[in-house]
Amino acid sequence: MSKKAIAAMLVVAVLVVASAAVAMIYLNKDNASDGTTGTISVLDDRGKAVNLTGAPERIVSLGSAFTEIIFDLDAKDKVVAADKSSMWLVENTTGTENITNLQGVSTLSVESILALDPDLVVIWNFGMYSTFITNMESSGIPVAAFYPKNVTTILETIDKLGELIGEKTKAQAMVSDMNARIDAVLEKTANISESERPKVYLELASYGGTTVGNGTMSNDLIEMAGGVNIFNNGTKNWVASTESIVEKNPDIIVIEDASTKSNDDLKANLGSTVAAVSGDKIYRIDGTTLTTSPSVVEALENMAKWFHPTLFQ
Amino acid sequence: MAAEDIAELQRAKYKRWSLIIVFMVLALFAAIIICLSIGVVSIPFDQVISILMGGGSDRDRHIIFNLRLPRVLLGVIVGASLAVAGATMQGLFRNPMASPSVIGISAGAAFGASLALVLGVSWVSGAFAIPAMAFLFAFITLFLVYAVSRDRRGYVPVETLLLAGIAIGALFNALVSALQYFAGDKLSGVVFWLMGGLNNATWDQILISIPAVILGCAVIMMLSRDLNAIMVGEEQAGNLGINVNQIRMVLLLAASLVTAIAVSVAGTIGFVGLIIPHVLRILVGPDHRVLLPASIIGGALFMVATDTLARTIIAPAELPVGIITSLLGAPFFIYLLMSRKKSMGW
Repeated sequence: MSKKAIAAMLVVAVLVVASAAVAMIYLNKDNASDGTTGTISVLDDRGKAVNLTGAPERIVSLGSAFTEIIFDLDAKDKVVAADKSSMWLVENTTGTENITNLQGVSTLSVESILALDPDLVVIWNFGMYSTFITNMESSGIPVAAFYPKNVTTILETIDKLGELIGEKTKAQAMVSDMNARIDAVLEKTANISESERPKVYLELASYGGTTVGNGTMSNDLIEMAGGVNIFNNGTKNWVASTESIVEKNPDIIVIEDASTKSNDDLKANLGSTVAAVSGDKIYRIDGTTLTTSPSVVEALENMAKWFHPTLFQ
Repeated sequence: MAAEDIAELQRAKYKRWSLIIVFMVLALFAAIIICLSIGVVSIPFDQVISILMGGGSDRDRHIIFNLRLPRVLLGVIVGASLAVAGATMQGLFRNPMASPSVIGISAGAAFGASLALVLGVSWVSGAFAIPAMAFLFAFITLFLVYAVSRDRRGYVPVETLLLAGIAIGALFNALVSALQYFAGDKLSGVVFWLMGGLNNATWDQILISIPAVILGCAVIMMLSRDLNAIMVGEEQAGNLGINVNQIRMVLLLAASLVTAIAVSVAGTIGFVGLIIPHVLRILVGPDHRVLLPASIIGGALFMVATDTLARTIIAPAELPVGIITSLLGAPFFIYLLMSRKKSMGW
């Protein structure tokens, strides 16, 4: 057979396959049923109205911050599945044996979610999840996407998610309680002058010990607790060199408890010229409180106690 | 041997090849139907058949036609692309350890996709930005590799091409690591994308990839005879009147096209392009006129099977399919190295 004939056949094949595919889509595609008015309607962080006909009974939570909010609102019985990052909380809470571990969100398919028959899926509003979110919604699954980045937005998320799961009153109570606790700290720390603020070095557990820069939530917490972050001249997270830490001479060091570095390792590394080492002011903080979740208030209160022991008992 | 005897043997050979291909195609169809009925949501086999005929409940129809079918078909496309590109690379470089990623375009595509993820690019539309950037960078890589390895006359020696591919691939891999470091909260997305997966397959992806993949596979298959000659040796091929440099460029372009598409929609899935051509070489022989179509179908079969495993083995959670292909592929690769030491010849 001549090459031209083969080429011609292949062109025809391409056209046939393409038209068949198009035909298949239009004949079999299910239209997403949205726009049904429900008794619960909340705008998520995409600005999209999530409509539910009633309080959800089968929630899939794809983010530890969201799982924590739902558990704090006493709705853990409504959660049927959670992602890997939520499992630390699920395993440390009683009565959660039936919650399925869905592992990493990036590996999930819509079918896995459909198999759980959920009436609400809560997920982070990351760009890389946008296809997944769209696909879930096309399959008729109600999805709420949130992206809290700091203390203010976390309170907003608690409010919205609480209303979405039918616990509006509890959520509002939780938010005002958290606001009260935050205000209790702020009223004492807001007017502390720069010179009276302890210099703080914060180290996270990831990548061998990253610190936080300006604009991060941890930096905000340090400021709110009445301290000053020695690395607030940078942005985001990076691994600070020992030299620069020694040069900035922090008064207090806060290290994530999950870090493999012990306090003694830190002291040996930094040397006694650093005020935090000689004054033995190294505090370990639970990493789960440094996330955009309700426990962030705990982190704030702990830091306030460490930075200003005379002001906070 | 008399001329008729040779012709007779040839006819027998072509007949054998045709039977093999037909058998493989039928096996692929059967595998597709079987894999359509396997999944987290249990839909019995007879239900699946009735759904394919037009019946079944709305929910089940939705699952089969909008969730499983695109995923299975994407597996066919990706598996076929990677396998045929692997076979082509192994022939072009006359090296059994060559794979689609040997000239660095997988690394380039990975960088493009990671860049899109980290920047949160949405100028096209979030969903298309990632594959589009992956595809773009795959071709930027190909261009760079070509530019670096060509000599003044435009001739590209195979050894230089290989080295350039390794170097530029390493460069892009380093850039991906750098991106991972700075990615912050978008980090896990980059890591999982790199592991590869078909879990968010949509009909759009299939529509976009099918024409280019068919084109690429067609071009490669049309040049089977030339690839046979090139595998014997470049001088010999040149003596047969083949413009080796030009054919090599066309084959490289076609193999890169299908690889770029595969990596853009499914991430970097390792070892498919490496193992499948070898397995088929053992089964059907090294003649590219049968090896290439067999690789296409064999690659498709392998991908569909491993993806079905990936989405059922820890259900309802899913394993990244790249983990399964690597776990199967790495021991096979070691076996290949060891048998090559015994100069089995290939």
